[in-house]
Amino acid sequence: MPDHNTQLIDLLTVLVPRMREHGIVSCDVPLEEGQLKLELTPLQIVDVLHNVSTVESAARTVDALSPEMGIFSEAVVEEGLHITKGAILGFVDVGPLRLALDAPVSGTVLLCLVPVNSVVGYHQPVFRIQPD
Amino acid sequence: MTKPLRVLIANRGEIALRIVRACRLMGLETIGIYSEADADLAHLDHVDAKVCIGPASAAQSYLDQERILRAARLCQADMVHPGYGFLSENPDFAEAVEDAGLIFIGPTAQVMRLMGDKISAKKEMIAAGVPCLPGSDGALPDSAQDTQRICDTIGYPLIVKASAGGGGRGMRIVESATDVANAVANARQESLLAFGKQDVYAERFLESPRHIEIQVMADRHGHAVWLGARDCSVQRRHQKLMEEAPPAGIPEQEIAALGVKCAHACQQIGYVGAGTFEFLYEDGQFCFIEMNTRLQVEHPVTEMTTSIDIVREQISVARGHPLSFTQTDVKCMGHAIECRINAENPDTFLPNPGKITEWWPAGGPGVRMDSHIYESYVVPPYYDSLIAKLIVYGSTREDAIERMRAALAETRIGGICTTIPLQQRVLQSESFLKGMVTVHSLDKGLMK
Repeated sequence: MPDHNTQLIDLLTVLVPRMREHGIVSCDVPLEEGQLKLELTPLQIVDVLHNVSTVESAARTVDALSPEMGIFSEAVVEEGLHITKGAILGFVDVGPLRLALDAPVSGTVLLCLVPVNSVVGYHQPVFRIQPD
Repeated sequence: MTKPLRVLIANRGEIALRIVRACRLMGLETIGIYSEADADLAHLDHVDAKVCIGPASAAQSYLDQERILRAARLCQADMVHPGYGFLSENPDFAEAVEDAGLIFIGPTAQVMRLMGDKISAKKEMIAAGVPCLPGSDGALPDSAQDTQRICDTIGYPLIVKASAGGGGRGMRIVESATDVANAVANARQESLLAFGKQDVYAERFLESPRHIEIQVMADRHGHAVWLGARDCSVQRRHQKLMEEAPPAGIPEQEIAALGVKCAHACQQIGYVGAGTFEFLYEDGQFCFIEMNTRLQVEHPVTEMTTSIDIVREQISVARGHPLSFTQTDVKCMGHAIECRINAENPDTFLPNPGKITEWWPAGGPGVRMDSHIYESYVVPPYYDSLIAKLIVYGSTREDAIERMRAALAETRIGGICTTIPLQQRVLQSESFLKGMVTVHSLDKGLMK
């Protein structure tokens, strides 16, 4: 069993980042004694900030910015989802106007940086994206 | 427990930090706003909430009323402090803030309009007994003959000024009677282009005046006080570089008599908040030039000599409280000098923005440094080049000068040029040491 645990940990260490990278939120992993169902929960901000804290990782991500100062009223994508450039990620309300927040690149939504219904500033990062 | 009031600071740089400090002392919450170029401003680490309001351009950020009011709404502000510059003397902004149900920390829009127009301001001052330069009674008439007659009566040299003027625009000096027609036409044209109004007026031109100003404070209960005078004669291109309080060589009783008139004028016009009456001083005569209806950059020299926190008092009276002191409580003690340290070439005065590679602010007894810079801070090219205000306090003027020399020598700012070498020269010049600097001394090269 110790060997199995070690192998499993090694497998997950490789598999989970790859799943995050490609926007895969669940998969079945065949094991000798059966099958392991793996479901990824959305990343917590602290986890992601920790993971992207190296210069190399940070350089690989792109932030989608709020088009204006207003209320970030709705997120239409979830963390882990693959999106294409120009896709609408959410909306920012500026008075009576509802402005779309577009994806600057194609890739995977790593995390949403701003809680829905909170104030966002002009060009404030709202989503972090792992580009393809 | 009631929720603390939230003050939105509609400004940047050292004054934003100064206002944050005053709010903290009063238990008020603060909201910082900033442009895209200003995300690293020091005060933003000390506010309770902050929001980026727009691009680097001042027109799309610190001068954009709609964006500032939107930020105030989004961040649930109760009060707006405009600082100095930007929208601080814009009556439309003051009105919009009040219309939005917020408190504008400053006078009413009506009083700002009254004092913003130099012709109406002068009329009010004459009515209140504040001394003014001899000049035209209101705007110069359209008739060339009538204008000529008025100018001949004033005498030459005289100066033609735009009623909505500022920053030297819409101004012409007239040396003799033959120059009147051209000067008036040119001033009108420039004023129309710059301010959208072509009203100009004429008044006696003083050749070698000093710039003396009186700090006032007034509340909503009819109280008004004056807090001493400042000498701001060390200027280059109409921009102040050094200020001191009290002015050297002017008898205290003359300043006191003027101060009483200024406080009285505040009551006459219904002024509320901090304000400054600016005068030219020549041959023992004070002549009113304008009133600044806001906090001044140089307010710390008055704070040092009176021990009154002007910003704190300003916020307090905006909340409707009476002034926390009376005129008899105001005692001007000792001497204070301020140097405005700008990110500029000290000889050409060209702005010199860039990264601060070294920062060692002067310290010690009687030394105050109001600044938002820090090592690695990048001075952006988009705004005013003021990066620090060094203020010293001494028991006498000589003591203050010594302290300022030592403080300037101790201050280290690396990576950019600053005005410090110029200020060090001024502190060695005979005219400054004798207290004889006029507003033209620096521009005429008389302080080398």
